[in-house]
Amino acid sequence: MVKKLFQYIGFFFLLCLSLGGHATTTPESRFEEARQVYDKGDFAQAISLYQGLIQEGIHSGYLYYNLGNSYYRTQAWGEAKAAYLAARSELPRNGDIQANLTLVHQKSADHLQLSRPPSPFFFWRSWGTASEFSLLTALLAGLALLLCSLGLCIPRLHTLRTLGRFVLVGAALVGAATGKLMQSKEIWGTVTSQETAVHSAPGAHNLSLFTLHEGAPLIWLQTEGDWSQILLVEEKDVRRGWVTTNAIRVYR
Amino acid sequence: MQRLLHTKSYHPIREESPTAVGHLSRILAVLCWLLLLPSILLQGASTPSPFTVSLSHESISVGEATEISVAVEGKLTRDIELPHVPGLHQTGTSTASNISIINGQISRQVTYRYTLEPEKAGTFSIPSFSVEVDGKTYATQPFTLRVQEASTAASASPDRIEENPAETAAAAEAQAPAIFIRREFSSTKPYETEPFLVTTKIYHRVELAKAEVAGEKPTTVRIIPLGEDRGQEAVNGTTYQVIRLREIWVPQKTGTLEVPPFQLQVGLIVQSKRSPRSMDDLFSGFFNQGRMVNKLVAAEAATLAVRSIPKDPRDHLGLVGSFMGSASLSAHQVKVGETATLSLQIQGKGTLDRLGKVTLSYPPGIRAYEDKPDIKEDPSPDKGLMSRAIFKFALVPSQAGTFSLGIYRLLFFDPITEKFSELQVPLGTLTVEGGPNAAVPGGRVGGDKTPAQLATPLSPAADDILDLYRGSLRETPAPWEQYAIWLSLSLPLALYLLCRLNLYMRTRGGAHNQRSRSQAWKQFQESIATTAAADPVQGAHVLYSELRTYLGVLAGCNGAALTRQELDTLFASHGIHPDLCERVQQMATRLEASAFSAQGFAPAEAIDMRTQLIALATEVNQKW
Repeated sequence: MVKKLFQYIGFFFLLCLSLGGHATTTPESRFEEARQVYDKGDFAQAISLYQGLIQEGIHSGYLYYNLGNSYYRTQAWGEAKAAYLAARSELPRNGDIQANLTLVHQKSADHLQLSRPPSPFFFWRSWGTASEFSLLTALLAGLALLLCSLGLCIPRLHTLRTLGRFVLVGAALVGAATGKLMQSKEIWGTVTSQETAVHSAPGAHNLSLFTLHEGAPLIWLQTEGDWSQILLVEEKDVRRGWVTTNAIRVYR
Repeated sequence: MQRLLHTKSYHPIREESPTAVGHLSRILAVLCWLLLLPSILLQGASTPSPFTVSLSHESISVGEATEISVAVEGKLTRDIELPHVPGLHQTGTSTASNISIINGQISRQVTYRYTLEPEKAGTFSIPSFSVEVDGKTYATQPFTLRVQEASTAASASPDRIEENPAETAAAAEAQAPAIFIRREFSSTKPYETEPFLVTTKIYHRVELAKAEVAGEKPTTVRIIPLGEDRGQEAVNGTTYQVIRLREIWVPQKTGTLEVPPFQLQVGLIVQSKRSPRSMDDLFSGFFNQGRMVNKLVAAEAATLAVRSIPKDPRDHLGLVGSFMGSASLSAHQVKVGETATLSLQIQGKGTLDRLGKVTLSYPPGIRAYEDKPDIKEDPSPDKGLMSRAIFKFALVPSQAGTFSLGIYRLLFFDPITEKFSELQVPLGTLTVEGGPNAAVPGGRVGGDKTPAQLATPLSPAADDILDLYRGSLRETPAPWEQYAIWLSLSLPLALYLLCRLNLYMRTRGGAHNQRSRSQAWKQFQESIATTAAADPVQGAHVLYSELRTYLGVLAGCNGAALTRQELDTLFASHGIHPDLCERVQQMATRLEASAFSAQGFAPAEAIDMRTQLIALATEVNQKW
């Protein structure tokens, strides 16, 4: 009986140890660890920890933001900008990300834009993320259903049913626009090599259109083998081309 | 047959109408053939001459030229040397090849032309000279050239034409080839990389069905085609249609440039005189008015001497031409970290192929990024090859101060003056102010420090960026957002479905059951009829009871059990007039109370109530 009791205590102890050990390697703890090594000036180690978290599938605008700062310290302007752009796509209204992104963009040699010019229909694109717009759609739809329910339950409030129908139409519109937004989601990245040629088609033998330098912002379109198709946003125009995938950084 | 085609191809013969003159000429032609046949057969038995010599004009005026043409079929084993005739100058030579492929047989004829110009009027005898073909020496017949004074020739010429104009024209046309090609070079001694114009003229006086360039092109020349144009030119009195092909050649190598003969595969439309022998011939003659003969025509080969550019002690890139340049800055005043674009433009006559990469030296504190150069060429027959190159550099200063960007120098060789020239382009001055990014090693803003104070290269402005995010790791989008989406959708939806279900349950068999509804309405109408003749008070009772039953059917419940408040709600929800409802309710209350009171219910009031009940029922039937 005593022996069994010891066995249970030992098992419980081991369980606690395993749980405790697991607790020290949680994403939160490694995020904190990266911050500490950053404060000590070990930026390479901080980058390694942040990249590890990203590879684990953790998507956080704050994580990309801190990664961008770490790259900035190592003077890797292209990498820093790619991380800031990824952070911006997660947290589009974050002022800190925008400030650092603007700062690192000034170091870019190529005069390219960091965002598309506002479209007459999708001017609201940069107001929030797809997730936020989805939530808004759901809230509107929920409100519409609530109003209809009240109109049904309380005959005196039957006019709420009409109002609910209008709100439901609004929710449907927002939902359709959100679907379109999610469908045409722009994945921004940058050139990370010192200099890279943009070709007309995948393959070095194809016509070289122009040269991009480190930090040039781009929109990733697709990847074929070792080549990626990119879109460059100029002041009044856009250009397409193909670059080697190794020369760019895109967080998808 | 082959020879016949050769000669006939030069004479496009028109289809003749079958007139009496036409028949007579045919008979005469047959007689001539019969007379000439023995001599032709005899000539065929002897050895034919492998060359023919002709003089283009036997009578010319001073200032004009004539040509001796030696057409050789075979290999010329020794150069032809014309005998020297005092008073006649040989002013030019040219060669033309004529290769014919007819019915699979190839024949090649090379024609050597020697242009002779007289010094004065008179009669000149050109003696016989020797031509060595395939190792055998042949002697030509002598020619006599009559040269008249320019003024007399002008007046004599029409007289001569008047003597026998048809014969003269026919003779001139017989000597003129149907098609030939000449090539002209704007420079026969160009410098290396000096563009020059090459014009290939295709003269033809027969219709061309097709023309394809078949010859080789020189390999050490960059050729820029300029297109073609068409026109007319008179050569030795014969009017030709001319196709001019223009190209700009840029020699890439010094030394002798062997230009291979320009070859053209043409299809000539030859008019046919023979009568149609088959249906094919008939249709061919009807639609095409002739038949096509394939022919390979070639211009003479040429040799050019490409000169090398003279040596120069300075660094010379090998540019030949005449160039000028300009430079501009997108902003002359920027802040530290901002970008100014320097544009350097070089343009002029000549090619910029060998310009290569432009390297500028920048003052310390300015980092430059070069864009891909934009080089364009604009070739034209009039101006030659004009080139323009634009180089762009993004300048990113890391220090405050005023920076002189220096002067760009380019050395080129001008082939006209045959001297070297140096192009000097001042690049301008860039003033850099201290900005938010102007950090110094200590982390301070550079501000108005001079370049001398900031001589050491600055490290990146580490303190310029905003600090790390120091909160907890929050995933974006937050997981609760997903839950919120589902909850905000599912809860109201569930509530709505419940309400719909409740409504359905309450109205089951009622308003949604049209059959029950119509039956109830019919029953109510029957009760109106049955109570019309009854006691008014009793009738009001019955009618009110029937209305409650009818309302119960509509609402899906027991109508007698509906409270007054519930009836009010139901009437309001269907938009039934509240005053009417109120009046009916009050009357119903008094009617029910009269059963227990001594006063009773007045018949007049009962009749009024009956009217109100019918009105209410009708409105309910319409609006519910």
